[in-house]
Parts: sequence; structure tokens; C-alpha cells
Amino acid sequence: MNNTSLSTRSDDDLLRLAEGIFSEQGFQVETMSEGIDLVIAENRYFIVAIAAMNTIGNLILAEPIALEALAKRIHSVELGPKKWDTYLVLLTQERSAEEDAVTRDLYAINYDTSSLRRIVHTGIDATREAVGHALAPFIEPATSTTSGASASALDSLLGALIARGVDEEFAQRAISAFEQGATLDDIL
Amino acid sequence: MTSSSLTIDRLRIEAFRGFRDVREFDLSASAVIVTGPNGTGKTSFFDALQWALLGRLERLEGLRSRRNVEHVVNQYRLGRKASVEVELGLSTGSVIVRRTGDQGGSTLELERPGGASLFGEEAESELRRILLPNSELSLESALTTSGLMQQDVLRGVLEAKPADRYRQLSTVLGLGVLEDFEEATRLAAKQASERETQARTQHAGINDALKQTRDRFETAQARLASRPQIEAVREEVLNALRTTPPGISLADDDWNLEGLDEVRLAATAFGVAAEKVDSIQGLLIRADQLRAVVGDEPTADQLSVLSAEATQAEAARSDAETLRAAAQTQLNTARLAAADVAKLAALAVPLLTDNCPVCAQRIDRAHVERDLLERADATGTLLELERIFVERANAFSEASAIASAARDALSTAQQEAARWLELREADRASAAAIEALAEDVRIVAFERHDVESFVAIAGPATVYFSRARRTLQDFLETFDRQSDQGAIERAAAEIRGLEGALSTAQALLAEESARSRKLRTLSELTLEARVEVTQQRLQSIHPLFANIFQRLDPHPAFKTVEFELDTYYRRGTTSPLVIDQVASISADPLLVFSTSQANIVALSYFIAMSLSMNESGLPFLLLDDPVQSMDDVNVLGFADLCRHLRVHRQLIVSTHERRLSGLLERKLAPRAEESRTKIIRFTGWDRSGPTVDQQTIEDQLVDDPIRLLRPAS
Repeated sequence: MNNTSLSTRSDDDLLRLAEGIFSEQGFQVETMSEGIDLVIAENRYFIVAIAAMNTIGNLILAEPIALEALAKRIHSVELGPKKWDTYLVLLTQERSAEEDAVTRDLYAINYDTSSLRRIVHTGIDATREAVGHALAPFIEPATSTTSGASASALDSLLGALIARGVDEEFAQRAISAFEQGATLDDIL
Repeated sequence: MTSSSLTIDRLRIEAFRGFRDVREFDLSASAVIVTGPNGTGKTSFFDALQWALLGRLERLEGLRSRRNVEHVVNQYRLGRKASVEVELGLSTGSVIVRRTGDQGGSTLELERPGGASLFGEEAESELRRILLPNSELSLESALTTSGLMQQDVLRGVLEAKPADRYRQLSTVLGLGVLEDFEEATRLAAKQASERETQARTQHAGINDALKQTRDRFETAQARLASRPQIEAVREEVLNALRTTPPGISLADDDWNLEGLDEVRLAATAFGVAAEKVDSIQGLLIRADQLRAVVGDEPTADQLSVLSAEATQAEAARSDAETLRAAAQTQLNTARLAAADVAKLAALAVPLLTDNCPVCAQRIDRAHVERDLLERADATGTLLELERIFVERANAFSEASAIASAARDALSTAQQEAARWLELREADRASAAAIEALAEDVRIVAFERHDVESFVAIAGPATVYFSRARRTLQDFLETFDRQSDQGAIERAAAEIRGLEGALSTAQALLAEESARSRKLRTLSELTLEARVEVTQQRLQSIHPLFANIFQRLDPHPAFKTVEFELDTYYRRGTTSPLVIDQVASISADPLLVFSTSQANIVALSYFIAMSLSMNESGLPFLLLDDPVQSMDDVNVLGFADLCRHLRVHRQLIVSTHERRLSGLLERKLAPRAEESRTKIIRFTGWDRSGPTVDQQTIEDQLVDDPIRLLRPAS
């Protein structure tokens, strides 16, 4: 297998999505094709190289090649403490087979801390959400949750009651009475 | 520093748990790494922070109930108070919080910049306001669910009961109020239902009363319909009354006995008449009895003569008695004298000597003889006296007999006179009573009012009056049915009243039913709505929870995690589930995960809770040895995560593992000018407390952070 053939098996959709996500998060982003197509992203904390392949088998095959390409790239630069913050992320849309041999190979890549850390994600759909999940360790977790959380719980409840056909004024009166510590007996 | 405007800048500990002597820690950094071997005081360090903020140690609460077990004060400083001081850095200045106390209790003092110190409850309240300005949560709830995670309680979230876990989640997500509201609606619906039941019972009661009254009304009407029978009875009664015995007639022949009162009066009048006639009959019978026993009536002269004779006889008897008494006295005197002579003679005869044996003088025999003779003469008188006494005693007996006969004659004559008097009195009373009948008994008229006529009609009259009274009383009972008219009127009035009350009760029942229905609907829909809102809120935390979990990535197959929400007997429950999306399998992490993997689930949950609270949460995150038993890959993931955690809140994290300590030192080294990182190394422990080395970690790459790629132009 040669490098050209590996490039043809790259998953460009996943790579483009990864590139976009990193860009949005303020990372410097480049692509490189040194026998394998890689997206490289860097911010003040991390250097992350992303390889995306069409199958798990190709992903396992591509892992040492991508690692070598990244190593070459960082070899020429004085990374300083960033050498501890450099990662290779390997993505594929194919879902993890239940074959034990493949599972063991993937586990071996993920849990090999003898050299630069590699993280394998299988079954990554070509969506922003799925790719975002895979790249989550490098992205600040969202601290604000859904819009529902920002409204008061009783306001949300009022909306849910109205949606169920409860008269709006009646529901509002009940909640107001409750908030004022009055008995709901008086709302009718 | 962090984007939060508040940090814990300093911690001073004295006489608290593992700290005998004073130790002071500079924590004025966005990230503080606390490291050191087990048993060197790291947990006491976090305990001190918790105790200073809450006044209690959650993980040691079980010891509080034990007597004589001091779990707050250092064992080498027993008898003194522990003291922990925390300096909080705010944009407006520093606030110093100082708690002193022991296991029995503590006092909080809060010093504000430029303000007076606060103590006790005021200080506690102000501290909560400072740390949680945008939340209604209690400091304890916030700290224990999303502020401080200690190793002892790390897995508590997984091992807790689903309902307890739900409560914890609800508290942090501000959903406790929904359960309270749901309970309020349920209670209101229950009370409305009870009132509806009461209204229904009242309605049924009035309805029953109305039915009974209507029945009574109809019965009375039916009785009234039998009125012709009463007319017949009345005719019979009138005929009976008109059938009077000879010599008696009805005083008023126009009687109709229409009214109940009229009948009642008539019955009474006939009763009175019967009693009067009975009474007169009694008088006549007594007169007849007297007349049968009286003899000739003594005249007044006869009575006078008899009285004089009796008096005279009595006087004679009295004289005879006097004479007899005198004779008796004389006789008695004589009998005594004779007795004395007999005794003297008896004594003197044997003593007749020449000289007196007593005085030795010579006895004058002539004198003795003369004296005895005189006494013998006296004895002759005695016999005469006895004769006289006998004679006078006989005279007295005779006079007594004559006097007794005279008294008897007088008494007999007097008794006869009295009987005659009584007889005349009875005759007079009978005649008067007969004459008075005209006044006393007006219901009938007697043809004559003399005794002879009355004696002739008394018997039939008594029978007539008694029968009339009984007939009228019988008629009264029959006539009572006539009161049905009154009963009908009363029942009709009652029916009108009950119909009004029933109408009111129906309106009340309709109102209470509508009210109950509405509140029941509200209660039921509130349950549904509460579940929906809770699910939304929980789902809102799911991505964050899963995100944190995926960063730590503890399992090769179970790649994601969530909380399953359920409602059990109206109470929410939540259970954690780890999911293998490829195989579509979900399971309780405690069942399929190792200890370290389960710890990661708990840690993910705790951090997600902290992050989800955003601005309403505490401005710091305290993690006491969170990576126990984690493998290298997880530790690396956690270290990277810490970089993000420090951005919005102060992070204080401890570890006993040198590999994590080194990793954190590198990963959390400041790479921005506003960041500062401190490391506190607990290097050992002696009786004075931990030995500590504190350092500030130097900046890295602050000026030139992008090394591999070309900086953007």
C-alpha cells in the first residue's frame, strides 16, 4: 500500500468538518498531505492532527503513517511544553466492528502512552455534532446549556401547562399564588 | 485569573483536624494544585474549606451523634476551638470569613471591606449572598452537589437511591420548586375534592329530607281524604250525648263538635259533671248511713238534767271518797298504836324485875300496869274505827257507781246529739251541691234540683256522664286525624324550605364539582408538565455530562452516558446509564464498569453539574483526589479537562499521584497573562500539622504560544 492510495481513502467530509470546527474555536488550522491527508490545528494549549479514513481497517493502517508525518512536522520546531499537548486524532465513519482483533487494535492505539497520544473515534457521522464530540477534549465545554435552562423552572412549567390546554390566566394565577406563598385554593 | 469575579485567595487553618498549629495557604490563582502522599493533610485542607463555608463536614456527619467524639478540633488541641479563616477576593475588595468552634457548634464571622463585621446567622446569610448572588440555592446544596467533590463521596452519586439522586439533580437544576408546586396543586385538588364530597353529602341529606317530607305530606293528604268517616263518628258521638237519662237534658243542642278544642272542652266538662255527681252521691250515701243509726234525738233539757245529775253524782262520790280517806287514816293510826302496845307488852313481860336492868332503878309496877290498861282501852277504839271505815268505803263505792251511770247517760245523749248534727249537715251539703249543679255543670240541665229527684237520677246520670266522657275521648283520638291538615301545611312549608335549600346545595355542589374538576385537571397536568420540564432540563445537562464523560473516555465500548428519568408514585427518579451506541446497549455503570471507570462517571456528573450552573453556581470547583485508580489515558484526559475548568471558575484540585501532579503542573501552567497557577505540596506530617511547600508555577509560552503553524496574518 502506498501513500497515494491512503490519501484516496481519506474521508474528506470528516476532515472538512474538523477543520471548520477548529477554525471556529480560534485554532490556527492547516492541511497537509504527506502521504496522508491531515488537518493540523493549534491554539495556545494544543496541537492536534486529524486523520480521517473511510474504514476502520484503513484507519488502523493509516495510524503509523499519520504519526510519522506528524512527528516529522513537529521535529523541526521547538515545541517546548507543547510537546505534551500534541495529539493525533483518527476518525472514521465506520462503526466499530464487533471483531475482537479490531477492538484490540483500536484499544492498543488509544491506550498507548509510550509516544505521542493518539485518539481513535469510530462511527463518527459526517455531522458537526458527531465530529464536535470527537474533538471535545480540545474544545472548551459549553457552560450554558439549552435555552430551557435559562428560563425559570416555573416559567417553563407555565408554558408546558398552557401547551396542555390549561387556561393561561388560570395557570398564571396558580403559579403567582404559589410564588407568593398563598394557598392555591384561592385561585378559583 | 478566572473569568469569575471571586476567588478564594487565602486559607488559614489552626487547631482543625490534621492541623495543630497555624498553616496559611496562598490560593490567589485560577488553578491550585494540591499534591502530596496520602495522610499528609490534603483532605483536612478541603475539610477546612468546607467547614469554614458550611460549619459542618458532610462526610463526617455520622460522627456528630457520637458523644465525646471530637471530629473538628485537632486531637492535640482538644479543649480549644478550631479556627479556619478564608479570604475571598472580590472585585470590590477582600472579604474575610472566619469560623471558630468544635463538633458541638461553631460561629461565623464575616469582615467586609469598609464595613462592620457580621456574626452568626447574618454572616452565614451574607456569605451565601456573596458566593451565590444569582441563585436561590442554599450554600450547602451548591457546595455538596457542584462545588466540592471529595473522594469519600465521589461515588455517592452513583450509589444513591434513584429518588435521592433525582432530588440532588432537581436541586441543582432549580427544579425542586416544581415538585413543591405539584404538591401544592395536588393538595388543592384533594381539598377541593373533599369539599365536593361534603357538598354532595349535604345535597344528598337535603334531598333525603325533602323526600321524607314529601312522603309525610302525601300521607297526611291521604289521611285527610278519609275525613267522611270522622263525620260519621261525630254524628254517633252527638247522638250518644243527646241520649240523656230522664231528668237531664243537654244544655245546648246546637253542638257540632267541629273543632278539636270544642271536643276537648266537652270531654273535660262531662268529666267534671261525672265527678260532681259522684261527689253528691257520696254525700247522700253518708246521710243515709247516719239516718239508719240515729235514735230519738235528746232535747236540750234532757241533756241539761243529765248533765246536772252527772255533776251531782260526781260531787257525792267525791264526798264519800273524802270520808273514806279520813276513816282510813284514823284506822291506820289506831293500828299502829296497837302494834306498839303489843310489842311493849312482849318486851316488858320477861323484864319485869324489881329493878330496871338498864338503869338499875326500881320499877314502878303500878305505873306500868296503869299504862298497859290505858293502851288496852285504845285497842277497843280500833275495832270501832274499822267498822267506820268499812261503812264509809261502801258508801264511796255506791256513790262511784251512781256517778259512773250518770256520766254514761250523759255521754250517750251527747253522742246521739252529735250524730243528729252530722246528719243534718250532710243533708244540707247534699242539697247545696244539688242546687249548685246548675252552676257547676253547665253542659247539661237538670230538671229539678232537690235531693229526692237527684237520688232518682244519680245512678243513670253517673253512667251517662262517664259514657259521654269516654265517647268524647275516643272521638278525640279519632279527631286527631284532623290535625293532618296542620301536618299538611307544615309539610308544605317544610318542602318549600327544603326545595330552596336543595337549590342552594345544588348550586354549591355544581360549583365545588367544577372547582374540584378544574384543580384535579391542573394537578394531573402539572404532573405531566413537571415531568416534561424536568426531562427538558435533564436533557439539557445530558450533552454536557456526555461531553465530560467522553473527554475522560474510560471504556472502549460504552462511550456515552446519560440519566434516565422516571416517575414512581408521582416522585421523580433518575438512574445513570452508560451506553454502547454501536451495540445499542445501555446499562447501570455500577454493573458494567470497574471502580475507576465508575468513578469517572461520577466525576463527569459532578463536573457537568458545576458547569451547568454557569453564572448561578459557585465561583470555584474543589476536587479532592478525583483520579484515584484512573489509568494514564483517563488521567491525561482529566488534565486536559482541567485547563477548560479553570477558565470560568477557580479550580483547586488535589492528587496523591505523582504522575497526575506532574501532568497537572505542566497542563495548568499559565499560558495567558491573566492566568496564575499555584502548587501546594504536602510533603509530610508531624504532630504540629502538615509540612507544606508552596510555589507559583511559572508562565509558559505566554508571548509565543503558536509554535507549529504559521500565525494567522
